[in-house]
Amino acid sequence: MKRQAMSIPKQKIRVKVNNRVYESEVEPRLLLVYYLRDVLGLVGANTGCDTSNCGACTVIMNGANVKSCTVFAVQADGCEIMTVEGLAKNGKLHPLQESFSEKHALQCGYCTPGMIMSAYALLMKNPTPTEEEIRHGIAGNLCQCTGYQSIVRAIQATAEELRRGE
Amino acid sequence: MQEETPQQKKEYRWIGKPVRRSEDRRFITGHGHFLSNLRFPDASHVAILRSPFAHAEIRNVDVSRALRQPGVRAVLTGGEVKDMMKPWPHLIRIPDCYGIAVDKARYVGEPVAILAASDEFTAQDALELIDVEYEPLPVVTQIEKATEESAPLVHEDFERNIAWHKNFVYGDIDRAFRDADMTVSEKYYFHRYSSTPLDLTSCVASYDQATEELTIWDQNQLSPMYHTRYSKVLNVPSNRLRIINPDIGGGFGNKVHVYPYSALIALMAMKLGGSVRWVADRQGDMSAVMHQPDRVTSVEAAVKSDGTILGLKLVIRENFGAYVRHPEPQNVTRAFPSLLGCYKIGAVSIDAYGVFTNTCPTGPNRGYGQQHACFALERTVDAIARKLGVTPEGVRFTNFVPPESMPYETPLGSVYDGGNYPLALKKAMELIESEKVRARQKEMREKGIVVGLGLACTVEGGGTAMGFARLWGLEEKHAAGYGSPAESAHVKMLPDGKAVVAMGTVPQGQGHETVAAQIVAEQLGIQPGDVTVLPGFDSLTHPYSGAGSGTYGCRFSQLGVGALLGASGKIQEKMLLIAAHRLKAKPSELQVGDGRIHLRDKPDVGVSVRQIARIAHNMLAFLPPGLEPGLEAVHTYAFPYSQPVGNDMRGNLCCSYGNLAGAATVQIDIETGNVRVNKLVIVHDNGRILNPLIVEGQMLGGAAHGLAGSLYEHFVYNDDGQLLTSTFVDYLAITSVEMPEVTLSHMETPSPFTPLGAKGCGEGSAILLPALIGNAVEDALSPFGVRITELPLTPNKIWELLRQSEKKS
Repeated sequence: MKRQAMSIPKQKIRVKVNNRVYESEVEPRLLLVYYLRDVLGLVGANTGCDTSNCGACTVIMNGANVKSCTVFAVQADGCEIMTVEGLAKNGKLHPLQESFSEKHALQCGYCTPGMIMSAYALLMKNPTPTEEEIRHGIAGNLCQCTGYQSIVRAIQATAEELRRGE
Repeated sequence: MQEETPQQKKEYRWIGKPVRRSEDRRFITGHGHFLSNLRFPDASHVAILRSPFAHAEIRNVDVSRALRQPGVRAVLTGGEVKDMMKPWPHLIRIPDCYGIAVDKARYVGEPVAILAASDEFTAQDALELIDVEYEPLPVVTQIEKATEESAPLVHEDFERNIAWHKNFVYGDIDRAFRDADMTVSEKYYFHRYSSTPLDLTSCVASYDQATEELTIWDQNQLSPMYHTRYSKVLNVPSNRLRIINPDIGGGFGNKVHVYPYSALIALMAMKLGGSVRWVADRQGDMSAVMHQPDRVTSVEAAVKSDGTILGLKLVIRENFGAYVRHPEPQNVTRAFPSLLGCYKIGAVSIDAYGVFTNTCPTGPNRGYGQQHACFALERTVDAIARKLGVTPEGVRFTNFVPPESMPYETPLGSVYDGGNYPLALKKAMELIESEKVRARQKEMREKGIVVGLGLACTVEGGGTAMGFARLWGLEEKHAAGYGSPAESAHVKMLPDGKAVVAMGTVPQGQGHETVAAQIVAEQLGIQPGDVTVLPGFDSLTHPYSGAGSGTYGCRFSQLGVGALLGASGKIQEKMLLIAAHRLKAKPSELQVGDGRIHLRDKPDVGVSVRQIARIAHNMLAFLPPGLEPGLEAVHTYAFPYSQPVGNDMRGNLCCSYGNLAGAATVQIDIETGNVRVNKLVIVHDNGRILNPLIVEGQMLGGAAHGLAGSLYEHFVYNDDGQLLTSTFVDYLAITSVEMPEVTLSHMETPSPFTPLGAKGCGEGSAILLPALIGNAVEDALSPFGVRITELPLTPNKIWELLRQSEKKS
């Protein structure tokens, strides 16, 4: 998918995504979400709005969850990014991914990559969240299918599992 | 030994189990096959120029500057499109609809030109180079204004903007009103919202000029049934038209009405040759795909002094928006099968008309008009209770169809297939601790804490039949053949015993791949993990039925299941014959077990499924004489209890009738008007549960949509027809913070009519919630004399209602 512009000088960026370093030349106006999807082929992060509301584009950038539709690719120069594609290790799914499936925390799957990354960021910052903290932690991610209850349960179950694993 | 029927059978190996979904893997790892994820490397990119005016004559569209822009490949205007395609057909008289404005723009966002370029940025930028000469016209957006003499006409040959008008009378309505002790009347307004699926509308079309073959990738939930329609409209022979639906990120009925866009993209592909790709933006989606209609319903109820409802007179005035597109006017008629809810009301008259206005055309949204009907009915029941000075549950218990009357035929001809409505309501009240809540309510009011308890019940009709067309006004001679709905499945067992399945359904998250695998595994004696169900839909490789194939209206658990049972049943029969021949036994002495078929009385004497598959495919010498090799079957299942609708407009137009009872407690801040839902209880009965994870998911998801519509979501137009809520900044989709915990309780009354006793279950809670919240809020505000007749119950609205009633007192 080409998103070309007319004679706008490109900039060099160097980004580490899912532990792999990429060097690219991008237009300044290229959004991070499109860099990930169209240039790197990582189609997990989606777009569902144009106003930074839906959260389907959520990825982790330098340890924090960000809406990649509201970050320019050039802003990611020198940064470390993790997307949903980077969660599984050697074919083994991350506990969050397993939990989401076990608790039926996804139906159409469109919000799921962004939702999982927000959950990941939440648990990184707060390994023992209350239900209220979980709900606030994913308030920036819309889901039209599940009604959120099973998502909350999946995050609670993961928190529990990670605690037991320690 | 009397065998249990499939509906009665208590325990299955896989059916009914909470099997984890097989489709999850690709979604949780970021590999969903959403259309926007698929690669079409050489595709041109389409951008759509949309009308900024709600109503304007299009004097001229000059595309010359755009065409001169490097990278722009073609532009199509309405006039050109009109010459390239036929208008979308319907069974009733409608204004021509091409999906693009031809002479006039009739709503903000209506496509005026479509432009194809080498890349997305070039396409977007070039839109600004298209010069359109508009002559703005007066605008009408409101239902009651649309039919006034002075109202501007949206379509010249539809007088007074009346798009459709029909009257229906069921039962002896005059007698009901003669025998009544009183009438209770109210007028309700139901507003516009939708389910705004996150996956933006998109379409790819690819036209091979050499072979004259067209392939369309779109998100149409009804594409199997619409396949011949696309063919006719685009003038592409149906055997050269392939429609593919990949993963769809949420449908909820909204994704039926993508088809006008698919045709435009297809035409561009046919003009250019090669592939053409389009992805909408959120504003385009919100303003110009579809809205659930807004509607005014006047209800007059004929009531006895003991609370018995003898009859209802309904006057429905619905805003159809700027065009009527099939399957409209189904928003009005979809509710007929469950119109009288859980009650044994003997008569109902419906005077319904739809008006054109300069707003987005209307279409299906989860519930599909049943939420509008339920709101009017359940609010009226509460109004009756108030008038009689009795409890809201009291009126309901007086009027419920008793469980011993099942199956129960309503005056409209629906055959309710079971359910214990009084017990469901009792359970809901127990779960919310209604007695405690009411006892404390008075205490809390004295402390200035405003709380309320609401109750509501509904029936949801699943699996819509083809006979609805008669209700729309199709003449008898044309409607005579439209009866049962159907669905198709193709199952094949591979030479080593695994299986592959293809269906005519178009899932958008309902878990069909998993449930279909459960059913086929059950029948063939294998594991669900051994069954691959092809995702999405492909008209070339999947079986389907013109009698409604697709995924909408909660039909899968009845019709999809019937097709799967039929196809896998044929294979099972062959497997039994092969095993019987091998074991020198009779098929009736055999049983399908785990991975093998064995003698019922001697379980260790059997043949493995793998062996049977090898025989059927490879070792043909071991086949019983005369038996065709292979283990493959297609089955199209038609619901047997749905006949064409007669001149009396009566018919059994759904395959199943689930029921729900809800209870909710709300707390209202009378300073700010904010409504908080404290507790939400939903008791539901959708017959046999095929997979409890999936059924719960549907209940909770529907509740979220219904709650969102009750309190937050609203498509608002100003008097100029500008849509003020066209992004998620203004259109308040519900988040995890607003969503309360929902207590679900299941009842299972298997239908005696559907193949496994399962009923449709995807819409019930979306239908119930607006009525439930309306009832709860009115209960909370009853000391202030506030009546709830419209939604959403935003803080502003509550504040206004409180001020209004202050003035009155």
